[in-house]
Amino acid sequence: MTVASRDPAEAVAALREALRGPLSSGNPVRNEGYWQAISADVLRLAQFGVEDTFAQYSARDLASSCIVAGGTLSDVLLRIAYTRAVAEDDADLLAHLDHVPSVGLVSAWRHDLEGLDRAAMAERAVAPMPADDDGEERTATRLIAARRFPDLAQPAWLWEVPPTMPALGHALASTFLRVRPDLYASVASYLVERRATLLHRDPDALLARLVAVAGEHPQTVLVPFEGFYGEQTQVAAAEWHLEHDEPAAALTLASTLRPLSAHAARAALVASLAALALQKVDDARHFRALIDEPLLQAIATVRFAEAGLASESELAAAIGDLPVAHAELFYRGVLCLLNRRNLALARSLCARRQADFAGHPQLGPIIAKVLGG
Amino acid sequence: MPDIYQQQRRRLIALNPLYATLLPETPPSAPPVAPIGLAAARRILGEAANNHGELVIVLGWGDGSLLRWIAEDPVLAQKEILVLLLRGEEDAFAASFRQDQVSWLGSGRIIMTVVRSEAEARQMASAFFGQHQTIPRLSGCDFVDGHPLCAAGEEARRELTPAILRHLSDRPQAYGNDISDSFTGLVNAAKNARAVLPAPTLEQLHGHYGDVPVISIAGGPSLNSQLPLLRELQDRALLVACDSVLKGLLAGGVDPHFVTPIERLPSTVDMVRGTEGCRAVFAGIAVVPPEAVTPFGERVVGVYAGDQIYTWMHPTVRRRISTGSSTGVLSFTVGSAFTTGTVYLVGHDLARDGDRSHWDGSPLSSELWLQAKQRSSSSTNAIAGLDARLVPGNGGGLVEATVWWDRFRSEIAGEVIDLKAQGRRVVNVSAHLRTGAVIPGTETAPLPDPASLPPLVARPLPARDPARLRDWQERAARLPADADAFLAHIDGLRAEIAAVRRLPPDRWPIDELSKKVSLTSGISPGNQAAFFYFLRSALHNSAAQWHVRRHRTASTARFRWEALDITDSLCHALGNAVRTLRPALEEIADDCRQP
Repeated sequence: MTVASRDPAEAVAALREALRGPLSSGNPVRNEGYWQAISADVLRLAQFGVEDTFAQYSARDLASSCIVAGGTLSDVLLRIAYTRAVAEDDADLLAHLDHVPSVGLVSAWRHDLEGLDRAAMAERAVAPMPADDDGEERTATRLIAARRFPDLAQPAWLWEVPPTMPALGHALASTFLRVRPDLYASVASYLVERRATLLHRDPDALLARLVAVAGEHPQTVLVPFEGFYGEQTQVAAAEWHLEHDEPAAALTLASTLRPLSAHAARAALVASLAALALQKVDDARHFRALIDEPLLQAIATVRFAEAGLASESELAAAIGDLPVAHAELFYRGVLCLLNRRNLALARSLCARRQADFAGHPQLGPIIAKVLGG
Repeated sequence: MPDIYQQQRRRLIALNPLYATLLPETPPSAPPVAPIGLAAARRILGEAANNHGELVIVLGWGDGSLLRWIAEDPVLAQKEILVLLLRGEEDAFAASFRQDQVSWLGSGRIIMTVVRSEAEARQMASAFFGQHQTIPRLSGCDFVDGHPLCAAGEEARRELTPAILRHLSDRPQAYGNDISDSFTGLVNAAKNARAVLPAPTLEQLHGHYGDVPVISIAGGPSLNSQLPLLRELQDRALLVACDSVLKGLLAGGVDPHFVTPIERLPSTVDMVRGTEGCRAVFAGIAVVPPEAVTPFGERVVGVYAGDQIYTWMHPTVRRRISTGSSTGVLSFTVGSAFTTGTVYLVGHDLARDGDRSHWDGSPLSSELWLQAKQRSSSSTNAIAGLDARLVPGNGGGLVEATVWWDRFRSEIAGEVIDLKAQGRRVVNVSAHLRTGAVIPGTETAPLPDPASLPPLVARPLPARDPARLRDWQERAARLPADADAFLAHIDGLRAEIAAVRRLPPDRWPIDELSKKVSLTSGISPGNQAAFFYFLRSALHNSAAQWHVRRHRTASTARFRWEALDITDSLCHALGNAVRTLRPALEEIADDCRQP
């Protein structure tokens, strides 16, 4: 029976009926032999009935382990991996998994949700689930709803994530911060209350994002998270101070990060820009020299150039290969060159990147003007 | 102006005289080594500096500057750093002490060892990761090998890295058994106590046969050709056979003096079933099924090895041997203990001969091996020990072995080093036959000419001593009470962990709690070794998982959360294990109270 010929709702109903049988267990992995006797359709609900026990593994880990596990166990793991890929919004992995036959029903479920209009999505996100639903399918549905239609997101959804599913809770909280930063206070309350959710994944990344979107001073935001945050949050707090015109505080936070930290380059950028704001040019140059990531170096170089502290050749080298997503930075660099009357270098850069930025609504016309004379 | 080199040289030699071989009186010129700036340091150390893995293995000294980066990073400085000084780096190492190295080297947890050859790589792996307690950290360690070395060091690193990684990756095989398997061994040892404990020990039998040559017989294909000679030598040399060849030898007219069963599997019973009429003395280990010991009656020798199970059985035993991982290796280590004469290895091919894995006289072994190999080949989840591995062959070139056979080869080679240091000779007959895998350190020669040896003089075994059995029975009778005390401790610890979770992560007393997870808490001194033995695999499996998770964790808060989670899970596993196995402990205790 193919996915196309079976209505997902019918399959789910059939599985629920089968699960009420005498061999039913809450954990399909323990009953591998049992699941081998049941059709592939039934296994879909097994995935949504599984406690979030695989939370310590990434979606990619689970998918990779299926290659080794083999048999029905791999089917169960693939389905779990698929749900986790939905939670982590891993479009690349989902695209690969969509071709795997054993996740056909789950894939159909996802594509169904991705195709709903706003009204239908709103209805699906709040629709009552069957009594024996454990919340995983509902949370996954709401994750997709929040990503597609952020205005549908409601703080109450966080509290309806079962405490036993911290990975999904983390994903929902992270999604809310990304698409609905105005809900940061609710997210913060949720994370304080459900500390297992925060700790079930790397808390630093989530807290760093919380600091970035919160409208309050980082110290205020982080007080309830005493002992939770790390270097990434420290850099986020430094960035907050820089954005709020507090360069001294930014410099203090950013300059104390250890040189081998994974976030050292970003800290060096913040320190460099903060020192520049404080007119500590030597310190600014020192920190800029510690930035060894090309994009971050480009940000620093453009700012230095705007302050008259970087040469035109440095500037051109920094912005020449900027990703398309950083059109504004490219524009600032070109503007800098034009302000310095270096039309030749500006034209050379624009000619090289014209194809990349031609469709950009603001930058496209500017490039055309620079090239057109 | 103080001479920094001489100051540091004196200080290091005072710490360890071996430094005198690495630090000549006059420092050599430094061979060129590229400097390591911040960008390079981030690239080389970035992964290790941003996780909570416990161990970093650095392949190559370089000019020592990488270790300064390590010592000055707060995260790396807390890790155990094992530096392998490679062949060709000696001058670079000595020359680096023209500058200050000691003041920051001593501030961290940096250990250095020299690896100049594959043999030294094997010794390093066994020395640093030789015990159940030290192997788990390999699961989550970082390897640093991207830093610049001098030209000779780079060449050595290219050559030695595969061997280093292979020997380290073999170490987890030395874990041995899970709780169920360990407990099976404990129950078997308890059932075999009446046979084994009163028996004469290897300590009493050490050198019992003077300088008589001893022949350790394993079941490789080459044994076929040696059978006629073994028939002639059986009353002129001491024959110690692995269990899988016993029946075949008896059928071929060879009656060995000792046999060395080792596995706690049911197939061990099959190996000795029906051999009651032979003269062979049981010289295996006590964890085998009791049905594998009863055919020998009182013809038993007490063999005690390094595991805690033997400490539990005989706490004051002084002479222990290494059992190795196979009945063949055990026949070698046990046999070597009986005499001071030459040890001959027969049938220790440890490689395939065409499509043959064993000699014709071990059909059960051949069949079991073939079944396991077929299961391994057809499964996507391979049985790692049966994976093929090419190793040097006695006939030149490479021969096909397996991971396990290669491990047995290493075990024998390690024992050969010790025996040769005592002036003993070890001969590998397979090498003379130009078949099988090379066993390093052994001589190439045939079996001795029977006519050159006098007949063996009968030497009865020393008398049995029942006192050891009574002592053990008194201790083992307390097993159920000990189990209850242990469970009370574990339950209390879990309650403590639950209370701690309400605090912020940085206030969790992780170290204090993990120290309380002991395998012997509340247990009477006489049985602590028993509980440690059968519970340790939970500890080590948990530890290995812990090290993997540490390595994947960048956040300190999450690292502490993982630590607490693992500690709680371990307590849960230990409690479950003891509760489940308590009825079996009751049975052992009841049996001890019987006359």
